[in-house]
Amino acid sequence: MPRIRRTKYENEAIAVYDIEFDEGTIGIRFETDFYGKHALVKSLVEGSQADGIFLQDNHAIKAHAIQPGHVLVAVNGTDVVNQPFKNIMQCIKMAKVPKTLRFLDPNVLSIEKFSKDPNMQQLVNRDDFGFVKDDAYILKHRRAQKYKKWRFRNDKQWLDLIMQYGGADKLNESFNKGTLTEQTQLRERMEPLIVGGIPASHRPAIWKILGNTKEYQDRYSQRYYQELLKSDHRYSTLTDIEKDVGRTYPEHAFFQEDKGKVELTNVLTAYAVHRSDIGYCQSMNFIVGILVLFLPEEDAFWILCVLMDHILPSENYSRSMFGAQVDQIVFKRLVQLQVPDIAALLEENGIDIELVSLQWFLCIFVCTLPLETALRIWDLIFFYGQEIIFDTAISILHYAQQGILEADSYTSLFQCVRELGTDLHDADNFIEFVYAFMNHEARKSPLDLLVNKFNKLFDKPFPIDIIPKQYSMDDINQWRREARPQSFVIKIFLLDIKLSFLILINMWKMDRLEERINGLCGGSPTALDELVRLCEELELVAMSTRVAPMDASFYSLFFMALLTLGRLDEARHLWKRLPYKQLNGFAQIWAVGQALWKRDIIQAHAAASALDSVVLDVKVTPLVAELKRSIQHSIAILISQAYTNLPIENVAAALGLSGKATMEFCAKCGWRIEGNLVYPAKMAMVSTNAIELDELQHLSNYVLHLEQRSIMKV
Amino acid sequence: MAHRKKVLLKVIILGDSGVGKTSLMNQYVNQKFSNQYKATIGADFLTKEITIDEKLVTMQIWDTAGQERFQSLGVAFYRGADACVLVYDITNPISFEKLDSWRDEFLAQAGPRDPENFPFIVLGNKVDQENERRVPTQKIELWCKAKNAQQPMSFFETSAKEATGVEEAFQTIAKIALQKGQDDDIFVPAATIDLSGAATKSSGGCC
Repeated sequence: MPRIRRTKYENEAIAVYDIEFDEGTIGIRFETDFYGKHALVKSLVEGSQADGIFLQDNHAIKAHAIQPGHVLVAVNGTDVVNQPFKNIMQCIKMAKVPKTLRFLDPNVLSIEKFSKDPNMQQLVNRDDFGFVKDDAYILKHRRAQKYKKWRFRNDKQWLDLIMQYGGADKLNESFNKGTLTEQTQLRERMEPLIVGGIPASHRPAIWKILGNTKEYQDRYSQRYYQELLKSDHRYSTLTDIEKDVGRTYPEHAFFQEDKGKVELTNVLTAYAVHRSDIGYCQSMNFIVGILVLFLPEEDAFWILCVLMDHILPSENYSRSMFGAQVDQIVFKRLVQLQVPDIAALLEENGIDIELVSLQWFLCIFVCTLPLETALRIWDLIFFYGQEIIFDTAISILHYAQQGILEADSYTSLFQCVRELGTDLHDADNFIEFVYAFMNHEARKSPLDLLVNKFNKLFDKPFPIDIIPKQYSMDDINQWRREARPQSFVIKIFLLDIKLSFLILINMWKMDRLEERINGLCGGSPTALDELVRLCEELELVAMSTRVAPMDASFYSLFFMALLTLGRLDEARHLWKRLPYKQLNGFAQIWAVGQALWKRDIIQAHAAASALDSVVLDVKVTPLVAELKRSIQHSIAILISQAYTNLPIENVAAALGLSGKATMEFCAKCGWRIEGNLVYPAKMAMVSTNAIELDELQHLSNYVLHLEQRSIMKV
Repeated sequence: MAHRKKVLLKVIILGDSGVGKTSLMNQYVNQKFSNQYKATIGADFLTKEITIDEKLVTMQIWDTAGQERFQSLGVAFYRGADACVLVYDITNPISFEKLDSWRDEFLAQAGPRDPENFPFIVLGNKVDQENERRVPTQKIELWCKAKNAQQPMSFFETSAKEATGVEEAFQTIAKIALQKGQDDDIFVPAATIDLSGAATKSSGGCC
């Protein structure tokens, strides 16, 4: 069904309206004027889409919305008013479905007047950042933009500060690496400017400074981000990212185009690979969306890392989302403390504030507050840290207190809660409030000091009616600790414990195994089999939890064990998913695997010998000899299967041994040597391909395990 | 609960990310479809007043986040639910296979008194993309029977985009939930209800 989307009025009559058409024929005949300009509606095709749209669904007056003589002024947001008629028709044909056509009623507003009226001409309402918003939003937003003079002074002070320090890089040095006095002085100087808001043009640079992004970034190689993007994306979260990219700010032109979508996907993917323990969590998409809108892709990635790892509460986005759950419990306690009336009312009506606050905390308000206000809050968060998240959330409730308490019905109360924060368009006003609340903490400083500071900062008296803040970050942290065991919800808690247990048990098993490996001699692959099995399990467990991926020493052991067992297929897969390819040793180990894979025996021996000179993990070193033995062993089997006799030089070459060692080897195998010829005794082929019964059992256990998601459930 | 001040039905929509939960809710409540929905974080809800058997009922429909890791955050929203709508996408077999886990998770977390007979309904969404269908209708039929042989769950194939089956589906779940509520009233003395109500409250306030 086609529908009327938006209308604009001029003196109570509809001047301009949008209609969204679905696939198929639209059903409007157009004609053009004398000059071949403008497309005017001639008539409607009976029974077509256009014929079915009425202005009012009122049986008394059933007037078609589209009337002959109306002018087509835009197609999917593209202005076509002054295009040649032919082009306009082409434009309609080529437009993507749903096609949104905008018409003008020239009887209400003439084309000339329409073209000159910027308010009418603006095809789609967008806020200052390019997000499509409805009329009410834009109106409120414009009304709130009153403090321009103040803004200007603040912007200039920012510029002065940056100039005085000689650019953003120097400012970064002083802010993050200067002496303690230098840092304190700079912070004091910056504080009023931060509260006044970072000018949009400097925001990316200043956020980077406040988050100390450079230090974080310097820990990684220059091409780290590119490598993350190129690396093997084996995490299933990537389908989650794909699903959400199209559902992230679809109202913004940047995200309707490929560039925005690609940047968003890249940053989210890179982070999911960078922190595979966290992966992708819904809500990150909205945070990253804002970042890529204002910053180059790679910068957005690094800021995201800093936000996630240092600034925002930990475990907010982890697989268990444990931090987010705990903070909701803490926040509910804060609500009871700070706005008890609201808390009581909500409880009485069985409304859980988590309904909205979870989203506030996870998206850091970008999906709730008007964007300008949200960005100003972000400025504060980068400067003061995560306490601001709590302060802001409480401030939103303070602000809406009256509305909430006056709600006259259950439904209107619910609606009120649902819309909390959405109309805080006056960013300056709200930030003042948050600032006053944040500092009005009895334990922090005497009130008169705060009042003085506030007056200086905002040129206006301190609002006395702001309730003193009754908690500090210490309290929050204390309550978090208390909420942890209490939140039994929270089988997740059990889950965490269970997983750590599993890991501990496995670690212990591994320790035991190591001992066995150290004393391991000749041909018995059972211990190694066991080791590989445990490694597989451990890797699985580690990947499905929030614990960091297993370390390099684990992987080198795992890798070597697979090679030693001759399980090349698995070794190859492991190499593909290996997070530590670039680390010392792995490439050399894999060289052996590659040679074996290509059946290049000579090369395999060479590569295996080369391992002697590589510094490997202590646990792995004993396996090198074992690997060599295993290669020789499998070759010996092949020889015994294929030849009745062959020259000793060939045997030596195939085994990678010297003449004397070859003799010893043959003797050990019970092979007869006559002159220059070796007569190998048949050796049993160890079948590695056939699935043993217990292995089958093992596999089906895995499948069962995965199916029941017993990893995720306790 | 015949003496309830208002007849309020709380209906939770569950299912994998991207199956169309938000679209279904909006299609039912506002008769609108948009391909510009944002991903739902946490939860959202809409209310709709309907008349069933001459009784005015306020339906409160809760839309939830579909990403798996949000499952553990649902507790607060599941509480006091009268019915549950399970949604999958007929073009995505994985979303179908996950129905079990959504159902189990819901029952475990909402803890209804009579989990065997809790009102569920299953919606296979996106039938407007029939040519990309990958979950045959028989499969869902079997699933519904397997869950409860005597009283198989009702299922509907819907399209939030074209409004196919949406109205009927929600009407049905409202009826079933209402019926269930009345049945419960017969068997459960009023005092017990009050107590359980109070208990829910105190557990809500303990944090």
